Amino acid sequence: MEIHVENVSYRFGEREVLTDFSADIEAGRVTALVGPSGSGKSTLLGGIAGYVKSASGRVTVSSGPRSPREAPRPEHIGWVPQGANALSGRTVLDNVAIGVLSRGITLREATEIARAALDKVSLGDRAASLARELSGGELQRIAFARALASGRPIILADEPTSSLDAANTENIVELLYALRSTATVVVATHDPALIAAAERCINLREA
Amino acid sequence: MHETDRWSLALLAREATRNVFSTAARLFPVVLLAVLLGSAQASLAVQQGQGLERQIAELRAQGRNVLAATQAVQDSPVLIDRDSCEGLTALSVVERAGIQVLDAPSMDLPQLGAKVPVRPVSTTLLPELATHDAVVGRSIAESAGRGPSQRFDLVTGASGSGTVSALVGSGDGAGLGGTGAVFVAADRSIATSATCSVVLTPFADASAAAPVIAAALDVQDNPVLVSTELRETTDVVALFLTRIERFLPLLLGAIGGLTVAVVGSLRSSELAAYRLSGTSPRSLGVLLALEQSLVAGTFVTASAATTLLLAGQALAPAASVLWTIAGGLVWLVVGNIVALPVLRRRPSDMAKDR
Repeated sequence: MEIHVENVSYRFGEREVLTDFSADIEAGRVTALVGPSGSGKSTLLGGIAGYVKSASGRVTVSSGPRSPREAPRPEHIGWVPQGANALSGRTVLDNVAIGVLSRGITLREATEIARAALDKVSLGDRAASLARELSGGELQRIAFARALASGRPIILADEPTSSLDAANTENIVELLYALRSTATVVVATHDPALIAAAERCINLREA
Repeated sequence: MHETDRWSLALLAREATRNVFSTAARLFPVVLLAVLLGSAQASLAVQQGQGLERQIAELRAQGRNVLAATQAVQDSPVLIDRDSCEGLTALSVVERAGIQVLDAPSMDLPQLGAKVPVRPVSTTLLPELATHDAVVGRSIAESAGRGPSQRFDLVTGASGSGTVSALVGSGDGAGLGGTGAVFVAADRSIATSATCSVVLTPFADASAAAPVIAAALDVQDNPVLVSTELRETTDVVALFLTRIERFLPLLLGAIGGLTVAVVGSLRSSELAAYRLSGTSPRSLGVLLALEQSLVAGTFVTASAATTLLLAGQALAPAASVLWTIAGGLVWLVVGNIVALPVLRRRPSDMAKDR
């Protein structure tokens, strides 16, 4: 799914974060939004997801260059947060399954999808563990598993490596590329390793 | 963006159950708190009820809720029909009622002393007279070395020629105006009396009962006055019913609801997982409401279970449970209202909370 950002400006009170910004993000690629803190990376991600309302302009999505454009809907968006945002007292499997249960499928189907996603992020053997028993890197992999399980065509990742070491960051890069086979991946990051691995970088400082 | 999702209520309920009752869940300590609060509140209610019952028992021995129907005006004697007096036991507020013959001759009783007042009364007033020949007033029995409810053979006649079965009275002696008397069953040939004594149930309103009793009596010659034996300076039942502690379940409910909501706000990074996975604010609200219901339900259940356990000692177990249910409803209302702001937050902002 392609993302079209058209002349958006975001304002918080008196502070303008992005002004008249435009970009087209191609489907099936890993695109990094880069820039210093305060440049609007997370804001733009939130705008694409519909969580942040723009002061002007609009964000639309389309399934192809000639397809009609529409406003993004919740079922288009999967989100990988900065921390894992896990339900600490629940199992790893439950944590991933909640990424699917909102689709209205049965518990059995959700469990199967969640298990498959955990296998893809190499956490299949930890399905029965409690989330609070996992390391930071493992928790972040839960977030990716949840995004994988959701099957959404757009995955937005907000600083997914901010609290991870180099080895875990490398794992995240692999997971991002695993996601792009089924989704458009947009990563807000200032991590050099992720920036280097992205197929395209959009520098918001220049915006 | 208008958010909808396809969560089923059953699966949300499953989520809520696991988020609340999993021992590793952040809400589990609140569940334990709910059990503690519910049990403590029920125990306190039982304790307070027992306190009231003790107070009433003490006052009862002094004549609380014992009424006497007698002549209203001095020198204007009344004759109260015995059947109408004994028939007062049919009233729901009347425990026992019957005539007392106050002018019967006294007797010399070797074990109790000379010129002991002997008072014929209805067996409906002293049911013990159905199985014993005499009931001995407590004060006179104590002076003879006999304790309450003690059975003994009472020697009658100056020469001690006869014995009758006797029981020392256990209470109401003062109220019936004769702790220093020996009560015997009034002969059925006695059809009227100048005095009708009525023992009300412990929680009956004596001032409200008096006119009802007066109207129910069949009285000859002159008007009758129904008055209490004991003039209480404070109405212990009214004090109990208006005590501030009766609102404790509501207060605990408000505290509990607030606590769950506050813990919920501390869980915002966890709740973000739901929102970022496509759960709409509405479904998240349902989830939080279900979690509140489970914890509030635990509070009510713990209280009800404690009340049931202590039912034998509880004054009004049903009332206690109803107050607790009201407390549970307050819990739900307060908790859901306080949790509302979290539903309006941006999921991306919630995700950054720690």
